[in-house]
Amino acid sequence: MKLTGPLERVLHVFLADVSAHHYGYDLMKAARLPSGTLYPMLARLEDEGLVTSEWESRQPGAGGRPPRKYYRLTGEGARVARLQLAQADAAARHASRRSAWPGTPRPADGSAR
Amino acid sequence: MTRRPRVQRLAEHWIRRACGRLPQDDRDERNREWTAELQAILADPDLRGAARRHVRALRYAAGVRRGARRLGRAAGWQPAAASGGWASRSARRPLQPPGLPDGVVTGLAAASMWLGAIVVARLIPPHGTPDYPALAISAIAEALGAVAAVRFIRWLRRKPPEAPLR
Repeated sequence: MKLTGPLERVLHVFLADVSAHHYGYDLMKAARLPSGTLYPMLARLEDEGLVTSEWESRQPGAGGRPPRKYYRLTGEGARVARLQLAQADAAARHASRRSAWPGTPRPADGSAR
Repeated sequence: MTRRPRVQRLAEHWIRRACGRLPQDDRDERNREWTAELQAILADPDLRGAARRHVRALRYAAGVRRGARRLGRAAGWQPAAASGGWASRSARRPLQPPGLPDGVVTGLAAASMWLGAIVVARLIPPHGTPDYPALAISAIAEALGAVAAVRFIRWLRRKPPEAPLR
């Protein structure tokens, strides 16, 4: 899984409450992504077994609207998402430390300065 | 039974057409999912005013169209190879003869409308007021011309990746 900016935003939304079920528009709003980006991404995540989907069961009080499809992270998805986001965060922190000292050569032992 | 708003029907139409780009066994489910989302958008309390909701719904449907194309490509689906039902309706390009690049027919329509605008301008001599009929026809022709150009450019960009599949 290649972690792109949009994917990172979607994973953050999912991880905010791992047990929560999100429908597409909900995710679009929370992650500020267009539908054309979100759905292919969700399909890919579902193919990889990181996200699972299920149809809302019809409820009498739902105002007559059609049932929605809800998505949530699988256990494996939550694990991978946390790992990927942690790695991305570490990489970003490392990059910002390096950019703070542009002339500093990269230390061999991996320490910051 | 209440009549659905025109915007909703238009958005549903776009979604149905978008679903034609998907593999056969995926279409119905995707159509149900995306149509249900439309209702969520049109009833979104965070969006103030019907106009905003309508714009959001149309943007959503347009995005779905892009997304469906990506999903279809990812699944290796070729709408042109489909037959019957959804695919034949949605993959069809109206008035598009086979073998012609996209946008040619629209471009020809734009050109003929331009000619029509010139003819109208000649036939109805202006009397101090702007020539509204000719202006309207030329505005439509310009819009059609722009659509033709976009379709042609997209056709040019799409052509190479499709070639190895055939």
